[in-house]
Amino acid sequence: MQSTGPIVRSNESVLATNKVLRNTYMLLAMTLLFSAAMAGASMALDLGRGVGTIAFFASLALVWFVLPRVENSSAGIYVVFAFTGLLGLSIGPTIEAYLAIPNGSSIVATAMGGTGTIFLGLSAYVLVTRKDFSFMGGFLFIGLLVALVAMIANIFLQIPALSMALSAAIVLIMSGFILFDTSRIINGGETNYIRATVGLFLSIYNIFQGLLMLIGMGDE
Amino acid sequence: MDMLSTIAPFLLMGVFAFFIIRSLPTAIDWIKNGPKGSASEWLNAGLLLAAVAAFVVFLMSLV
Repeated sequence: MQSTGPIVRSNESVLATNKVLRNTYMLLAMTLLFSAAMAGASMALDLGRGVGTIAFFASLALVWFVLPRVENSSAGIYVVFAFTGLLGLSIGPTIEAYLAIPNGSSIVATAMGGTGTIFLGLSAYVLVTRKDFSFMGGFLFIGLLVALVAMIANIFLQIPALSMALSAAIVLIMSGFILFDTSRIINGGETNYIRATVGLFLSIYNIFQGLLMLIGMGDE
Repeated sequence: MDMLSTIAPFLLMGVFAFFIIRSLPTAIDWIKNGPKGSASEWLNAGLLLAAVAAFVVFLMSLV
């Protein structure tokens, strides 16, 4: 009987990991749909960039100051919906601006399809191979911080080539975060599905925004 | 709204700076104490990211 102990624990660990994974993807799917609905509402109501900007800052406040306090309770789910809904509101005016330009619907559709393909492809790779990408953590964090410093500089410099390079860098860094986050879930490094959902949602959101900018600039 | 569009870049800069200052210790800790990848693991990750880059170039050529 003693020899079954580790096997039982191992099975429990696998079950727990599968539960986190299932809950994460379920919550991610619901929040993506909700965020898309809010983006649609933002466009239908023609809320404009002002409301989008306020929604963006409000979503950051939620994810930095509120979510860490409630991420271990059911209230965390409501905060995740509020956070993703606000991000949906904030991206609505950007999508509307792209849709207003010639070929805009094609740009938005391509960015959406591209984001889905990148996310599904990278997630499937990690889920099938079960490889551990946690070694990328430091590289990705530092890469993100360097990209943010360059973004701060470009707020004032307004160099289109730098904007394009930063969008490309963000797409690659966020792709790396999809590998990192997914492998942490399946290897037991992440046991909170609310935190995991927010991480994956942010990667998808940033890849979509980066692709919109890259494809839009490429079209010009 | 005009005032918002004027202060938004400065707000954004403040938010980015706050995020950098807040995340820097975590990033340094990951670099120092996080798991280290072997050369083949880095090559594998690099190839995946290269495939993403190639896919993005393909998407840009589509539109």
